[in-house]
Amino acid sequence: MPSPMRNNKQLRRFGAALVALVLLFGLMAVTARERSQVTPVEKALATVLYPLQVATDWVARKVQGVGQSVKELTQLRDENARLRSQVEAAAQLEARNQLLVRANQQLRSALGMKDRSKYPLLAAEVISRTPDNWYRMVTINRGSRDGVKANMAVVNWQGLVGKVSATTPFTATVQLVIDAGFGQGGFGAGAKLPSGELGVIQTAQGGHIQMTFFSSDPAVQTGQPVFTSGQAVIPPDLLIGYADSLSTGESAFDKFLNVRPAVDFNKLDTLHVVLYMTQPDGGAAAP
Amino acid sequence: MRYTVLTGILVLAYLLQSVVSSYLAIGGITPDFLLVVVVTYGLLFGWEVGLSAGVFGGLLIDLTAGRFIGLHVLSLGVVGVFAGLAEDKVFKDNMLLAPAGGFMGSVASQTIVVFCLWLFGWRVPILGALRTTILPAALYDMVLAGLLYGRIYRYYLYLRPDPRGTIVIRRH
Repeated sequence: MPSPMRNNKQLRRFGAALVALVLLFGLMAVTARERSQVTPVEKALATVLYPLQVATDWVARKVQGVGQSVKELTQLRDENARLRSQVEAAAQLEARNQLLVRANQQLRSALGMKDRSKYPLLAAEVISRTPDNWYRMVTINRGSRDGVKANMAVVNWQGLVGKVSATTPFTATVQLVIDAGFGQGGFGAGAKLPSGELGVIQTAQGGHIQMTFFSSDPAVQTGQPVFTSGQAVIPPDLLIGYADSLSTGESAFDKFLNVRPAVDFNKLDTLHVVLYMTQPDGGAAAP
Repeated sequence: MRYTVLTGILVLAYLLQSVVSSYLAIGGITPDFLLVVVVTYGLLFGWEVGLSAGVFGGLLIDLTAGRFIGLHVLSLGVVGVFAGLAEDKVFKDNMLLAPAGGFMGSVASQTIVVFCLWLFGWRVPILGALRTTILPAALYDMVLAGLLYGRIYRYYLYLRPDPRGTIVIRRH
């Protein structure tokens, strides 16, 4: 028979677990909605982790370069065993060359985009990704000290990447367009087609982007580009993606378009923060 | 010094998770270093250490993401506790222990995350999530646990729990 002391201990543990659960769910409920301000604790943590993340990112890029070299080396070995020794050196050079070419292309594209864009842009590097399979967010090395504010759009040379969800002095968290919470709380992106059809972008878990139309009979062609309309916080005329297929919802009038994103979200290195917002309530708009 | 090594490994797992895991993504699915470390701590050191690691690691993730704060504290904390409750019932040098723990821990943790997201109104297609995210990620974590468990187990030889139930550095 269990002693009363043991019972007491178990009861206390059960009570503590219950209180912890209630507190956790309360905290989740409070922070479930989008916030433009982060708490001092989050700010301090981001500031402390920033140099560690930059250092880890640097090491990871180096390791990736080595990994790429090894991969190419293996392929070349299979192709030509007789020239193995020469191929080893060539593969390493090739790998380095590819990295340089890629960086060169990205920088050229970024420069070209900067010339083309009608908005003021701020270049930023991705230093970390959200450590979770459920959220799609990245951290960039520009923060409130550089003029970055919550809800500012973030783009790369391919198109719209996402929007700033929170800032600290040195970093900013970017919520990607493929994050399931992107369109929630009215902070998403209004969208339009070249034909003038208007709608709203929503993202489901799994990164599927859908455009819901305002009209019940939209004129859509596969492959058409989809741009932001400027109706929400994201400025107009930023490329979101391309029309994929038109689907019907529960009601026959409920039409939505599956959109193939323009951006390759697996290769995010250099991004640009658009220092302009269509709604002044998220912060002061740039000229 | 008592918990410095364990905390260091946990912070390293967080850094690997937030920076390196995207380079290791297969089909958009990333391995969960933190989960594997939490499960390993639970299996090696008991539920108290598993819970502490889960809460600390979960807090790091939640504060980085900046929303649903408490979600990963809950999911990783629960996984840490359950892994820890199995601590005195398993053979720690069994090679199948880590992969099995990694797989079950991953499924449990992600199920808790999906349930909470659904509870707060997210549109999460449960079956789709199971097929496209939960099971592939669990398989990935299973492999990762198999690779990492042995390395942390080496530290276990130096960080054996003493009879008072706390962890001490073994002195020679």
